[in-house]
Amino acid sequence: MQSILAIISFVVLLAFPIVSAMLFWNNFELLTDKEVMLKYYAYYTDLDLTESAHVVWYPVYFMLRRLMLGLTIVFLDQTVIWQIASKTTLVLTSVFLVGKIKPFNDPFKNWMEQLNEALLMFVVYHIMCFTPFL
Amino acid sequence: MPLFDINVPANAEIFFRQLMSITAFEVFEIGDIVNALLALEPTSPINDNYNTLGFESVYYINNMGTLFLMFLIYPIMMLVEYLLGLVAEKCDSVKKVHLAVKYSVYWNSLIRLVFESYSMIAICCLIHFEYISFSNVG
Repeated sequence: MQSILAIISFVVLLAFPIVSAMLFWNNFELLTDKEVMLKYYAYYTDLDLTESAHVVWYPVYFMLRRLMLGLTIVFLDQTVIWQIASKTTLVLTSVFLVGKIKPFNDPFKNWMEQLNEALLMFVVYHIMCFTPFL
Repeated sequence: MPLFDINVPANAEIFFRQLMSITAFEVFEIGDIVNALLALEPTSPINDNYNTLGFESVYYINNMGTLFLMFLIYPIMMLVEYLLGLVAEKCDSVKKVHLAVKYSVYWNSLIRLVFESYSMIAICCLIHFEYISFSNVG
């Protein structure tokens, strides 16, 4: 039973960000509608909906990077170098995306996201000090 | 990141354990109850890092803990919403409460819960996949 539940959960986890982003992308003009906001605002809270519809794909990246982290933690648990490399890649991709797209409606939030990623990078560099390499 | 294959100092382990109980919404331990209900053999964690962070088993529901119960609340919330809807048709003062519950159940609170617990659910699923088995009922 737990195995079936885990498989169903994983499929939902994979499908949820992509399906919801496609729905919001196709109905982008409705996202500022009061009725829609009352139901689905949690998905695009703080996102800048004035520039481009592509911004609804940012939560997809937000979730898939967590999935990627889980994959590297569980399946690459004997190779810390790949774990660190993947984390570094995800942080750098996030820095690039936030810097290029500026997904949030408040410049301060964009800046805070960049600061968050910079601090993560700082932590990743320090993780190397706790590997068997040193 | 504490789950990376690194040597975590003991004081950091204690800090991470406390932090994880907050981030995983771990109010109480359901592992023993699940094992008893589904007749499961208790398993050991993958390694010490996992054990420290509360992934004390390889089973999906055991690792999810209280978070799993939070998803089980949704069918009850749907029933409450349906009953409130019936009452709201006859009583205007309940309408506001019904609308608040309705918009929360469909879908804002569920979306927020999935967002916040995405990494936790993903890790629990993936741990289970590493030791997946269809040989017993549980």
